[in-house]
Amino acid sequence: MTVMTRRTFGKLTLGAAGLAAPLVYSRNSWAAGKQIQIGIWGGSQGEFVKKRIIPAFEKDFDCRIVAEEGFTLANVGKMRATKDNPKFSVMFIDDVAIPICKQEGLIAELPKSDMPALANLYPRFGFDGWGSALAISVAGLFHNTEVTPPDSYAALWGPEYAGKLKLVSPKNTPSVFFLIVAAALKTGKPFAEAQYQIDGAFDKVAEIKANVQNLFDNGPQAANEVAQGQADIGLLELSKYVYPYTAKGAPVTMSFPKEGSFAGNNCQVLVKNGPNQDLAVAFMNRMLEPAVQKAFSEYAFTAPPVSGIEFSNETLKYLAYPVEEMDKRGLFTPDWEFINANRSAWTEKMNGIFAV
Amino acid sequence: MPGLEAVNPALTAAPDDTGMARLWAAITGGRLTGYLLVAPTVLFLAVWFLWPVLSMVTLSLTSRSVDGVMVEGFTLENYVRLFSTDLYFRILIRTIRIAVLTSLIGALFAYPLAIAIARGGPTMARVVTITIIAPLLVNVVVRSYGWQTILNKTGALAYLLKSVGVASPPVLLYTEWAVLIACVHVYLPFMVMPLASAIGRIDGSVEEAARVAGASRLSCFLRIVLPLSLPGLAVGVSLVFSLSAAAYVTPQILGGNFSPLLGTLIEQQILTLNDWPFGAAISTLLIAMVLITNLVFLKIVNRRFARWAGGAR
Amino acid sequence: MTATVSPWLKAIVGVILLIVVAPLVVPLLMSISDTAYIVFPPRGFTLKWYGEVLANPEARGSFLFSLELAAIVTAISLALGIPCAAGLTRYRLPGQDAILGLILSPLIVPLIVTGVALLQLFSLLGSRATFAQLIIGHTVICLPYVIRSVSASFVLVDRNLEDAAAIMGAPPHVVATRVIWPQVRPGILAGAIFSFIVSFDDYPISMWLADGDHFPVPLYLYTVIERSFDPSIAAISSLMILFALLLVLVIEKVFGISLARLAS
Repeated sequence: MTVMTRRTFGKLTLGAAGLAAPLVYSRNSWAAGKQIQIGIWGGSQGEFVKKRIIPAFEKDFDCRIVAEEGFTLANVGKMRATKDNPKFSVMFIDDVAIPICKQEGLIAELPKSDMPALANLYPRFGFDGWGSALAISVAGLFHNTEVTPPDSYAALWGPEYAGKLKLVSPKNTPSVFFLIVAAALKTGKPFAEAQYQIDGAFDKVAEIKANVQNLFDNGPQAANEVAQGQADIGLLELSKYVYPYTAKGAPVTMSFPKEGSFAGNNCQVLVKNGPNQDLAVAFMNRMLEPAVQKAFSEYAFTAPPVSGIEFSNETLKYLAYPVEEMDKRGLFTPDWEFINANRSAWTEKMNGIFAV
Repeated sequence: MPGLEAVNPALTAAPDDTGMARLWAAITGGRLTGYLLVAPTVLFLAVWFLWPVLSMVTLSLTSRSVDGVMVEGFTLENYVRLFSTDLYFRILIRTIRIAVLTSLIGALFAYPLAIAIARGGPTMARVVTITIIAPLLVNVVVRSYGWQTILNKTGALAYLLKSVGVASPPVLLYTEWAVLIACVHVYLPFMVMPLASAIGRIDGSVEEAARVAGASRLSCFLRIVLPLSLPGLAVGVSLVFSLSAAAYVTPQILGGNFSPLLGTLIEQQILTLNDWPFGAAISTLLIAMVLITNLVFLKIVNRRFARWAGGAR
Repeated sequence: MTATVSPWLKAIVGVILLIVVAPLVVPLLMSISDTAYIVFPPRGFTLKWYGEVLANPEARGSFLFSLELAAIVTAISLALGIPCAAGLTRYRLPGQDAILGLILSPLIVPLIVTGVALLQLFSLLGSRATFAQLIIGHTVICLPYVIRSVSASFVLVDRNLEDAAAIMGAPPHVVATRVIWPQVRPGILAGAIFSFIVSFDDYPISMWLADGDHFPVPLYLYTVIERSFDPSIAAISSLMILFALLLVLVIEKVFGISLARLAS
C-alpha cells in the first residue's frame, strides 16, 4: 500500500519544504533508509501531521515515517499490547495518560541533550521529562450562535435547559472536566481544590440529568447537532473539535464561563525500547521546532507549548497564548494521577446515574 | 430437482457398478474424513482465536487494576465486583432483553421477506435481497445518523405521526427503542438469508397439495412452512441474538448512552479506563450468557424439528 | 417453482423494504447539501463532496486496500469453511458440540476483545506483517458466517440422490461436483457475500491491527468524521451503497448464479 503514504500532495508538499528548518542534508545521513511507526491522532491535527510535517521530515532525513491515526486511549492500549516487542516508536497521547504509561513502563524519558527544541518548552508542559505537550486546546461550552450562553456553569442546572443539553460521555476525557465543574459548584471552591472532592458531588451530577438530551462521544457530531439546532448547548468539549466548524461558517461556537476553563494537552511520548529511537527522537524534536509549531497551531486552532511564536490577531482569537494568557483565562490542568486512580469508580457512578 | 437431471448421464453410464457406491460410502461414512474436513478450521481458530482470547480472559483472574495501573497476581476481585454491583446485573438483563426482542421482531419481519425471496420470482428475490443487505454496507455511524434524522423530535417519524393525528408523538431517539429499531434493521439480513434458503428447500408441491386439499394460506404456513423452516430460523435467531448481545456502537449513538449494553461497558473498560482485567471479566460474563443461550436454544430447536419434520412428511 | 405470493404478502414486503431503505436515503440526500456541515433536509445542490472523495488519494487507497483485504479474506474463509461445514453436517463426530461452540464463538466474543487479544499475540510472536495480521484477524470473524450459511444448505442436501448416483457408478468427484455442488451453491454464495461485507465493514479488529500503510475504509471514515462532520461522509456512504449494487451484479455475472437462486 505504498499509494497511501508515498503520495505527493502537490502544493502541500511544497509548503512543507518551506517549513523545514534549513538543515544540511549530509548531517542526517545516519537516518537514511530507516523507518519508524508512529501513532498520531485523527482530526485536523492528524491530517496536518500526515500531509505536511511528515513528508518534509522524510525528505530531510531520507527516512520513512509510517503514521497511523488513532486516539489517545487506543494508542495507550496498543503500546500496552505490544510492550514486549514494541511496534511503535513515538506515540501522540493526551496528558491524562502519561502517568499511566510511566508507571506501567511503556515510555522512556526524553533525551534532553538530543532535543534542542526542548529549550523553548514551557516547564509546565514537560511532564518531568517523560514527554512534551504539542498542542493545547481549551475545553468549555459549545453552543448554537443563536443561543446566549450563560456566564456561569451553575445556570445549566436550571429548568429552562430541560432536554436541551448535550453532555460529554464518561468515555471521553472532558467528562472529568464536567465532574470537576460539578464539584466546584457544589463546594463553591476553585477547580484546583474541587477536583479532590468529586466523590461527594454526584448528587449534583444527578441533578442535571433532566436537562441532558444525550451523552455524546463524538465531539464533531455533537457540534454538528448543536449547529442544526437539535440542542442548545454542549458541555464540555475541546476547542479543537469545535473551532474548525466555526471557522467554516457553521452556526456553532464556544464560550467559557467565569468559573474557568480547562486545558486539553495533546502530547508526544517516546516508546520504551521502540525501534530506531534516534530517529524517533529527531522526529519529536522536529515537532517542537518553531516553524512547525506555528503552522501546526494555525491549522488546528491550538496553542503551542513553546514560547516565542508570533500569531496574527485573527488567529489569537481562537488560541489561549502565550502562557500568561492561559493563566489569565484560568486554564486548569487537573491532577491526572489522582484522577486516574479514581476514574474507574467515578465512571461506575456516572453509569449508575445515566445508564439505568 | 435440478440435481437429479445433472447427474443423469452418470446414472445411465454404468448402472451396475457397485464399486463406486462402496467407494462413496467409504469416503462419506468414515469419521476420519469428517475430522480431516473439520481440522483446518479448528486448528486455525484454536491458534488465532482461542489462544489469544483465552489468554485475554485469564487476565480477569491473574491481574487487576489498582488506581488505573495494571497489577499482576491471582485475584477474584474482578468477579466479586462484577457480581456484587447492582449496575452490572441490570445491564446484563437489558442486554438479554434487547437481544431477545431483536431476534423476535427480526423473525417477524424476516418471514414475509424470506417467503418473497424463496417464492416470489427472480426480480422480487433480487430486489428484496439487495435492499436488506444494503444497510450492512453503510458504516454504522452514517446509518445511525440516518436513524437520528428520522427519530429526532423534528424528524420524519414525528412528522408522519402528527399528520395521522397523533398530537404529541413520542421522541424515540436516545431511548432503548431506538437501539432496538437499529439492531433489527441491520441484523435483518442475517435472519432473512438462512430462512429464505430453508424455505426455498421446502418442496413447493407439498404446499400446493395442501392448498388443493383446502388448507388456508395461514394454516399452510403454520403447518408446513414454519416447521420445515426451523433449521433456518435457528441459524438466524442464534446469529441475531449473538450479534445484538455484543452490540456496542448503536447503544452509544442512538441510545444516547442512556441504555448501554454489556458490550458498551467492555469498550469503556478497555479503551477509557485501561482496566483490561475487569473488561475481560465482563466479556467472560457476556460470552457465557450468549453461549449458554445458544446451546439451549439449538438443543430445543433440533429436537422439535426432528418431531415436526417427521410429522410433516 | 411457480410464484405463489399473495398480494397481501407483497404489500407487507413493500412496507418493510421502505422502512429498511429510509435511513439509507437520508445520507444520500445529505450528500448533496451545499453546506459545511450536515443538514437535513439538504440546502442547495452540489456534487462537490463526491468530487472531493473521488479525488482524494487517501480515500482511493483505503478503498482499494479494503477491497483487496475482503477478497483475500473471503477466499480463505471459503477454503476453510466449506470443508468444515461439510464435515460438521455429514458426519456424527464426537465432540461436535464443542467444535460448533468454537466456530460460533468469534461472533460472541466482543470484537474489541478479539482485536486487542490478537495484537497481543502477534506482538508476542514478534510479527511485523501487518497485512497478514489483518487477513488472519478478519478471517477469524468471517469464518462463522461462512460456516453457518454453508452448513444450513448442507443439512438439506438430499443424501438419497448421492447414494443413487454412486450406485449408478458415478465416481466421487462427479457426485461432489454434479450432485452436491448445485445444492449447496446458494449457501456458499450467501456465505461469501456475508464474509465480504463483514470484512469490508470491520472497525474493531482493524482498529488494533492496521497501520498507516494498511488502512481499511472504516478506519478512514472515522478519521474523516473526526476532521469534520461535513457532507463528504454522506457522499462516501452513498458511494458504498452504489458499490454494493455493482458488487452484486458482478457476483451474478462471475458466478453465473442469480441472487434469485440463492434460495432455490
